Amino acid sequence: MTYLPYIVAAYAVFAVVLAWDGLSPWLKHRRLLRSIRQKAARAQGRANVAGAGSAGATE
Amino acid sequence: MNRIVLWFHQLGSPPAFHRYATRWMPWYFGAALLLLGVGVWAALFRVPADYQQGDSYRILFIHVPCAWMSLFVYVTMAVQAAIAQVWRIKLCEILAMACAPIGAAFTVITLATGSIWGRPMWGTWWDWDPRLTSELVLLFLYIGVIALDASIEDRRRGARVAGFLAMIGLVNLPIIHYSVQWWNSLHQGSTISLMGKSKMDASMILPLAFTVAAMQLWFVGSLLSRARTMLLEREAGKAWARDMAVHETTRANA
Repeated sequence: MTYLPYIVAAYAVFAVVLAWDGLSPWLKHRRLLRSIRQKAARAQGRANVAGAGSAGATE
Repeated sequence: MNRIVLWFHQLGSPPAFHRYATRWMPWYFGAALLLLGVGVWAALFRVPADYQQGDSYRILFIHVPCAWMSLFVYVTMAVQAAIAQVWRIKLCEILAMACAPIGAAFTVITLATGSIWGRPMWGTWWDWDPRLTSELVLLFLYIGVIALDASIEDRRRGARVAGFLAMIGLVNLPIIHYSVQWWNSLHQGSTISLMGKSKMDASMILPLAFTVAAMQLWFVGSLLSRARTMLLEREAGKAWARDMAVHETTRANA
């Protein structure tokens, strides 16, 4: 009897689950960094507009 | 203050932990993959077939390390949860909750590879055997901790409540370990002994040692990776997180 299909299936499950465990937090971390950067850029943009507005009012 | 104690205190600060995790995580994963590669190569191509189970026993080299890790990660989670309950250390709450999906992953691998190994050896994919059933209960405990943590909006309170479940679930660990001795089990008894003489041939021990070490290193890498992500998620509005995100863009564009 050949056990090859069982061995391949077991090692495939092992590889897939480990890959999920390694990749999922890494991808989430990247998404979080992008969202923080976008928020910071929006806040910076609002601050610039407000700064330009108040400078115009004083002229 | 002692340098180690000082380092430990500094590591409790979210930016310091994030920096530490980002720096060391790739090394742990790299070392784990290297050891795993050597261990799996030896397990599949170097060691002889078993005289009773033939080549099917080669599943042991991934099944056993993951089974041990499923218990080890649970103990780590419960210890972190206990520290978080007593001293209210935020990082320990995060580390405890970061352990849960890793432990669940190891338990899924244990159950799946055990089932695949059981089909040709026992003639069945599953049996309500004490060892298999108690390991399945362990998976439910991990899922329970993850679900309980996610169900409470206040993240810190969620982690503490889920930590209680983690500590209560510790009672299942001796049941898993001794199930093959306490009850008439289909699952084989211990083959490898850390203290006494192992029943396993010496040529098979070395590849197993490699895969066991690889899984330990993988756990540390994965724990750092998950904990830093959870930390960043909770502290996304803080100045250090903003500075770090902007700094990473500048570094990537440079």
